[in-house]
Amino acid sequence: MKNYILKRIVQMIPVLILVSIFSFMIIHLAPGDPINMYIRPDMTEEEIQIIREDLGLDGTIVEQYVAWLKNVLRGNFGNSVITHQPVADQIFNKLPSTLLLMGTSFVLSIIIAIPLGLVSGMKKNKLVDQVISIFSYIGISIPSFWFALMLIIVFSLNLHWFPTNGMRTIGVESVLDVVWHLVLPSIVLSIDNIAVFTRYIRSNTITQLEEEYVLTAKSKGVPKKRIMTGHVLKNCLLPIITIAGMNLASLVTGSFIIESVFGWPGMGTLGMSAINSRDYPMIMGFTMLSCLILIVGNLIADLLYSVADPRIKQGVKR
Amino acid sequence: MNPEHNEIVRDEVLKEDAFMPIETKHKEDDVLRDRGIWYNLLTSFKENKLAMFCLCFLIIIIIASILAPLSPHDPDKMDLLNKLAPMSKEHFLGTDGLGRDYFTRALYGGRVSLVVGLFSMMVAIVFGTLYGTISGYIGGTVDNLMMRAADIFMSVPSFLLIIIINSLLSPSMTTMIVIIGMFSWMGVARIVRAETMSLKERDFVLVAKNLGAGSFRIIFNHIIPNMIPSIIVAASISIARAILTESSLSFLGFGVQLPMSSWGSMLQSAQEHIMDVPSLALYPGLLILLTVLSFNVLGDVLRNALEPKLVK
Repeated sequence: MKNYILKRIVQMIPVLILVSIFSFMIIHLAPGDPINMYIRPDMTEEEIQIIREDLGLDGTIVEQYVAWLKNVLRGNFGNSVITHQPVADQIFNKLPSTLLLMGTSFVLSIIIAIPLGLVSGMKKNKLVDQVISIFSYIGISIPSFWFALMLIIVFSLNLHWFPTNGMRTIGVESVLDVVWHLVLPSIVLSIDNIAVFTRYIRSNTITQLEEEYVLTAKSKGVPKKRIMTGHVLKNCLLPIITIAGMNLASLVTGSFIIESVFGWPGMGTLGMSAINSRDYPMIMGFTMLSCLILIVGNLIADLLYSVADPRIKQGVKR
Repeated sequence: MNPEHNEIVRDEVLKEDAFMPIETKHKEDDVLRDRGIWYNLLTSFKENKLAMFCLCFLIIIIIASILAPLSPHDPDKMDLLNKLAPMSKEHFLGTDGLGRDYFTRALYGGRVSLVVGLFSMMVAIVFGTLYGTISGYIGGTVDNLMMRAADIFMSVPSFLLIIIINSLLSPSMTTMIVIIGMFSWMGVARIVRAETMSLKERDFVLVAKNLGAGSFRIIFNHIIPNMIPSIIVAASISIARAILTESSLSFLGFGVQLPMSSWGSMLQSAQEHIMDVPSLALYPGLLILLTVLSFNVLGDVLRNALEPKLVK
């Protein structure tokens, strides 16, 4: 187990390096010199040269990359071009609110998807199943930003039930207030996952119900409810772990879009403004962190999977 | 602990039909006497009303966007005296904040969304199929390396990179197509690779090999034609995703540039008028939703028809 984790962590390094090289190249080969963000028209050539050296913008792109990498390994992601604050600090300030949003919507999607999937699989081809299926089709097809706009129009602008944007009411410091702000964004963010999870739980339920152990349980007189919760549900949860890992990208992407619609003060909003103002160090730091979240999430999914399914562990011992 | 295992599950998840909402109710002898693809497709559409609706909707949308120039209005002609007009005979869906006919703009927007969707799908399918077949056919270390590379693509926040590339380059339709395509071929490659690995062990491939056919010939004449059903299914889903990505990009302002509009950028400008004319935000989103939904449903129906299995 330890070896496996170690191996996976070692495997993460080339991915991170490749992504960093790739984004570094895009940013630095794009038209426009990043130095333009720092200089004023009245500066002399020498002054510009000094700033250039200060920022590590002199030398070839390879040298620049190496300089950047060295700093990153020391935990220094550079300073933002706009606010002149350290990039790492700013990102870590915003990280909790993004993780809060992502976590809430993930839990929400699991809670909603499990009963939907089980019912849908149990009542295969019945009316309930068809209704749920159409809903999950809509869930995977709906553009999240549009869904967000529609919810804002209905629940914020017309019914005034929920706030339109932000994370807190100014001057109010309570958990309830944050929860109140969290409702709409987390619903929007979870819709895609609800649909995807429901699909897989449904199809798994159908295959599991055909297994012989279900027949055995039935013939022993185990009530249907117990068969569903005790046997089928357990076996359905396994693939959910894998799918959740695979779907993590949509959570990261989704939070990016949804944060900018709802003005949620998280990494997405930060990243969007960084991209719009071409804040290069910020873009780099932000990309690396998103990538890290994805990779670590996938690793956790893989680990959970083998912990949850003892058959896998045994397979290797043999 | 076997890391490979999760990979197998992933392949299954990608390939296995996980969602057959309204299964075509084949009787057993129907499958035994396989009546061919067209028969299966026809019965699927006859039995499945949702599928029929989606097919009709797509045909209407495609014809409407091809015929967009027939509209009496110019999509870019502004008429500030007549802005935010409600629905009328002259302006079918009213006008937008600059007095442009909304219906005509929606038609032209559909062109952009569909073209980007279609061509990014093609980029993804062509590249993914070649990548997957080569990887699966050669096998061994090459396969391992190629799949690791694909994994890297799968584990990067692709939407973010697409935004960054698009914001730094000047986003034209071509760059968007290429970029969206370049970040969505991995699923296809995985499916295709798994199929290639099983196909290359089949007798007819061995026979072809023994008769002296080269690898190139085997791949293009024997392996790829046998994977066409799976590729078509993947293509349908891939269009759906590409349209969603394009509209998200345009919504965030990193998509097609003015004066060109797509459904996504129409929504972006509709945001300004969300208080007084919320219907402006309604239509483009509804069009995206229905189009993407139709391609997704179509993908599932095709899968049921093209890969007939015994449904108990």
